[in-house]
Amino acid sequence: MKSLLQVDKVRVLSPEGNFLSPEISFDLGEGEVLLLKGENGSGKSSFLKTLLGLHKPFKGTYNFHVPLQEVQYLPQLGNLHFHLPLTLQDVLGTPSPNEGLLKNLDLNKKWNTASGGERQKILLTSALAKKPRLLILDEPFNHVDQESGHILEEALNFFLNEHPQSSLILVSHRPLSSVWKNLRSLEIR
Amino acid sequence: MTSLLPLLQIYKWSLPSSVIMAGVLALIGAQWTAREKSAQIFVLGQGASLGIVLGLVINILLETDFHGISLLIGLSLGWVTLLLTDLFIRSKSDRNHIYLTLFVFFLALTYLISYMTPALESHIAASYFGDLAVMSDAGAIGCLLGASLFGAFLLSSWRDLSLRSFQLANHSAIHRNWKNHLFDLGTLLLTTMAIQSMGYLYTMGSLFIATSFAASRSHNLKSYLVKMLVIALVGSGLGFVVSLQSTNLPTVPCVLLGQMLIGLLLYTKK
Repeated sequence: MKSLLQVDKVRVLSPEGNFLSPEISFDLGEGEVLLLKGENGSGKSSFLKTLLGLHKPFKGTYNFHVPLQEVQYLPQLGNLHFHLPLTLQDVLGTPSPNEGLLKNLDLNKKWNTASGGERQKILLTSALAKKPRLLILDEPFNHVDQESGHILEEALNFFLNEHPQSSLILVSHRPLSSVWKNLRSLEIR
Repeated sequence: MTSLLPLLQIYKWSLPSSVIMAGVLALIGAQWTAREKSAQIFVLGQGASLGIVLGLVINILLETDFHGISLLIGLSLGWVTLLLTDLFIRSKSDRNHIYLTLFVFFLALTYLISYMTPALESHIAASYFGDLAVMSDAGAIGCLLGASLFGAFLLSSWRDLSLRSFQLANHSAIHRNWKNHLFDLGTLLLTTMAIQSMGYLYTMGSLFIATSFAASRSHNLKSYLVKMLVIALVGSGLGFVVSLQSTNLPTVPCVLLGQMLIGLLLYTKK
């Protein structure tokens, strides 16, 4: 199994040099799903941002074995009120073949008035349409009702089954309801 | 009307140049506002102003009249300002106090230089408040050319740049993007050129007036773009022409008030 990402003793630091996460090591192969678990404040999101170059101070080493262009990342969805009047269609971009997630969505709705579930469906559809080798999702089920969360999970599972060379790193507090192939968990504390 | 036509002939370069530049600055301002970095551009403008004033001092000392020096130092200081702000604001929760500190620092230096160089007094006023009617033809043609080229790029890349702004606001921009690099570079160049030829007040006003009025009532990205261009282009043209009707009316305030008037009309129109 080809390795997509190798992480060796990475520890996230604050700008002042304080530790924001414990030491984390893993090797992620093709087709694998890695579920990162841990208490609030354990450093899961900061760790993902560090891998993606969005957070600089850290110790340890990591290596992507795929170009960064083939990595897609969805951060935690806050209550982002965006200045430009983007519609869901604007954010989605070119129509995606993954119609399942778009069912019953009004694509002319403005981003700022869309619900958490509608926003996540659009962002995930847009990310999956790029057929990433590695998908990194930070709390994708936050601000999403149970039914929408289940739909998102099914769409992810379907994508990974269709693209066995793609992998997923997922941070979630919500227990997963689908049956996933090649799933493993890593507790961060 | 008969007296207006000869006036328009006199301002055949400064009028289209200031109108087109206003439209392009509005597009730039919209993206920086979406990136929650409007204050950074405010400081960039002040840094570039300081560079332009330094260039004027050098021209006075060397007894030359080479405007390229002002533009070059303005660009350099503007670039340093962007670097400094990016360096200082990293990981800071409140950026505004840093932007304001830098703004005051540049303003103090500008005042210090102008105080020590009395010959600069009239240049400083022109650099801050501007007068579109006395813009040189060479400056106007340069601005018109630069604004037209960069405007074409902005319009053709509007959706891509908007999505990039969305990613930056959402802290999810992980891929390098040449269009965004070009946008940063063009912002620096156009803002400095506009400040040098048209003044700080005109530049800052044109960056943010249109987007302030257009953002909340637009249904989508396209209608927002159209509204902004109407506010910037029609408002500027209207203000410029009104100012020409009287020798007592300065051009820059008229242009900015014209933009606000059109913005208000569009804002109140359902």
